[in-house]
Amino acid sequence: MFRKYILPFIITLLVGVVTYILDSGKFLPAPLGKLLSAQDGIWQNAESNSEQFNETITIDKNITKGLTGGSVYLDDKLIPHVFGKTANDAYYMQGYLHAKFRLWQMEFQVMAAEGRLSEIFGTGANDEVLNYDKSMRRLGMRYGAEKSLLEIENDNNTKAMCDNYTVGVNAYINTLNRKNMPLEYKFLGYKPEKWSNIKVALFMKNMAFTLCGYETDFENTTIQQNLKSNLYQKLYPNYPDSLDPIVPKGTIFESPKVKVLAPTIKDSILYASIEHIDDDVKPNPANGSNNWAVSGKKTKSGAPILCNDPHLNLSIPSIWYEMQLSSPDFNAYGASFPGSPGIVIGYNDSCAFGFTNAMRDVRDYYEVNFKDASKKEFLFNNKYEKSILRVEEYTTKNMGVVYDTVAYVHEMPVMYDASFKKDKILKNNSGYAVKWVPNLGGNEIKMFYDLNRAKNYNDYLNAIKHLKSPGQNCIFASKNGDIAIWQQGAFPAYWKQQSDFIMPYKDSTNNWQGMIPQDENPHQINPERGFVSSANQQPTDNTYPYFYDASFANSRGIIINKKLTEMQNITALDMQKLQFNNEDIVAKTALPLLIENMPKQNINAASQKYIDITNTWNYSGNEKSIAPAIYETWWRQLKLKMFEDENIEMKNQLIKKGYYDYTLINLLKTKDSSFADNKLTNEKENISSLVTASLNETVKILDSVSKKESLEWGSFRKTYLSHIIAQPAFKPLSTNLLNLSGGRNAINCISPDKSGNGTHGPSWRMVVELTPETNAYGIYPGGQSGNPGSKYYLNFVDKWANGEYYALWMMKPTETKDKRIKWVMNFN
Amino acid sequence: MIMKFLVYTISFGLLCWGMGYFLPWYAMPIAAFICSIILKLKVGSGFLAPFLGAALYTFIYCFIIDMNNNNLLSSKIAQMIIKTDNSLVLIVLSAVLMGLITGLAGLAGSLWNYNKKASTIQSDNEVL
Repeated sequence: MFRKYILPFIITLLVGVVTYILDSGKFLPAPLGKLLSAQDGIWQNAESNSEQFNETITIDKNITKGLTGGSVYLDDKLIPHVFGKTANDAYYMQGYLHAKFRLWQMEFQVMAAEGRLSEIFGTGANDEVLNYDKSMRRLGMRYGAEKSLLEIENDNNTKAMCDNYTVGVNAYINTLNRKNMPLEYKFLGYKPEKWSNIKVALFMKNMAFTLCGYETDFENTTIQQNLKSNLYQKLYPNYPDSLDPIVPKGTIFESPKVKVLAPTIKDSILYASIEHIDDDVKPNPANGSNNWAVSGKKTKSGAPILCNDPHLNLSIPSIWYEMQLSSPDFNAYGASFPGSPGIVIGYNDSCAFGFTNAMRDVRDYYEVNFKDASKKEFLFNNKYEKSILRVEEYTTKNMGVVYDTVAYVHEMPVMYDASFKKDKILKNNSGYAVKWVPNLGGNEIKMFYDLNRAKNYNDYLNAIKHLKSPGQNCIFASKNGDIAIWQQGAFPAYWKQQSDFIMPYKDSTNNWQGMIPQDENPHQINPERGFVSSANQQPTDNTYPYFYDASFANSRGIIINKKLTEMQNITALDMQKLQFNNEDIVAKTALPLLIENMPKQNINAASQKYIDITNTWNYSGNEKSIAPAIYETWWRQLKLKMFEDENIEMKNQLIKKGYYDYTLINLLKTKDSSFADNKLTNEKENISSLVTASLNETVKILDSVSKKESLEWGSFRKTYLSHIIAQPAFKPLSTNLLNLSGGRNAINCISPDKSGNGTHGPSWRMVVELTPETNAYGIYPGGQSGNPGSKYYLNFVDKWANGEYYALWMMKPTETKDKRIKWVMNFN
Repeated sequence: MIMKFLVYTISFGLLCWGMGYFLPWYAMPIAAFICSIILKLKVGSGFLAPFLGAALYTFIYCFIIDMNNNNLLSSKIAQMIIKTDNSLVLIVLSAVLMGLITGLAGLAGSLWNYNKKASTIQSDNEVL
């Protein structure tokens, strides 16, 4: 009986269960059986060296109306040159290409924006992933995207653009099977869903979050509560001395069309009742960029040159996908976002366009008082008003469906309340509603649609008017000689410091009183100095009639403007070199101040060795130099020591908010010991004792590192480009450690990411000289294929790291026999 | 006897390769299970033949892919799964894993043959 039935049954069952586990990935970190099988698994993603990309795609005429097709010519770098018979065909083909080469990343980024990562990863340790998802929904990412979608679909052009893009993406998704599924889906054990226009809107909100989602209102409020006002100003001055704004100092502004009245009640009342919350849902504050355009009178060729390098987390696969997109009514080349149609940073046959981040804080918190825990009513003008409740659903991988009710108060989602971050605010049924620009909607796709077709300055100006968020410095140069820059976006007209702190929401006193009219946004057209530029610094001096605040970065702007002022007879090569300039002007000011404040008698043999190295430094973050490692370590140690006790007093918020370099420089310059004494010690510290202590600490750190590794800047920083999933398990899909030049304050703005995973820096370097035959160069860290098994996955990285460029090729329809073309995809 | 075993092993390997174009990977253990019953295989060859067939097919197939890919992907995946960048180790692991699960399914199939082979010869045992 046992041998006949029971044993066979048990073994069969066992084998069946093991097979199921190996296939489904349940109880395992990954579905190992499926992954390692020869014809289903990862082996199918290992692209052959001689992979051919020729393809004929038949457009499903039942789904699409009026599409006639076109051709895609893939060159030796796998860059597609798209020739659509109509614009709709071009967008269809762009969707198909984005999906073919980058599907996983585009869907993943949208799911992150939408708060759906717990579907892929489960709720995570301590509900980390689920809380991230909730934060995204509570911030209103989906709510804002739904609003934007209405605007996108109300416009005939952007509706057609997105409709055809979506159909193109889905045409590729339909070709997927268990063999050719992108690697990440196989590893994580899920499948792509159908693309739709809302995902385009969500993708744009993701960009908005990345670029204008940063604020420190909770941190500021906590710091302000614990610090005297004059010290707060000392720590975070609104307008630092070193200011070299986008629109030069002395520009005359007309009196403001929107008059803003600050409430009369004192600040202290505003901050008194507010409790502190650890508000962690923020993008990297270092997300920024450089752009500049020089007029023909400063260039050798007599034609304007436009340059742009956006600084982002340098993820692999790259955020960018390079391509030429054309149809009989337009022809554009540049970097596109897999996830949205159009060319984002690039040029067409008449002009070039690019962006840097405006950085301006457009995200505010209001303290709302609910009647009770149901959140159905809130107090406003001494009466209870009804809130709108939106139930958010999360289909988590491990815990089934989880619900979260979000209250909307006058169209503002309540981010934090008793059911989220509950330990803090249960007692009086209060919550913190978030008001920010991306939730106002906006059809940013329209800007790209128009920019790709822009022929002159007026076309450009009309195009950028569609940009509400994220606020950007939109740069422009055209073949007819014009150069221009506009800081563009929807910016609230704030009273002084309104955007800095948490505000009560008892009545309309603290509401936004209006938006700054578009024509009052800072701008500059064909200036006398012969160039326009921006690098995330303040847009104006303090005579601008509206208040704004943000984590501006000033050093790059200063050096760019200085160099551009000096330069004449500029060539495209000069501009490439400028983008790769590693000079650190903060170090140039700070290091001599450190040495000056270092008492000679405290220098010993060990520290003298390092000081000697810095003495010969040219303040350039060259990968081979050791001095930058010494300076950066010393500077960081001084910051930590200077504010150690204040930071503890302020519940770690000082460290979280960060300190400005120029704050520390000012303290050193004026030998101001306001923050120097550490109340946690018995001694009385001053500037020079802290400089000594931080140098001693630096010696200790560097001595210990140098026993095992080099102190050369390139290797000292441990920079690498991380896979989008910045988890240890996925690290092998990242690059190896790279020896990179550059620095956080240099034009070549490269530094390790704050989280310790990967690197932050120029995600696309572009130089466009607008000669009759455009002369353009560009490169990005990554490769055209998102497949880690392709030789086109990381093939641009080494050249990028060395500051080299590829010549960009705007292919003509007659050049189909050019030898750069390797493959053809026909759509019909 | 050995000839028969080899023919079966190689045929099974070819079957796995062919099935791979149309069916998911777990068709291999299912096929091994069914073949063992239909061909009334003994426990030993019921395991060994599908084990070797599936493992050899996987090894050769992956080896060729990996060669054409210059070990590019396999070295990354090997680091992810087994913390080494040795591609060959990953290929062997793939082959052994596929072989084992397929072999065990073959073994499970052959166990059901006990009745057919043994019912007349070893009826005494059954009483015991």
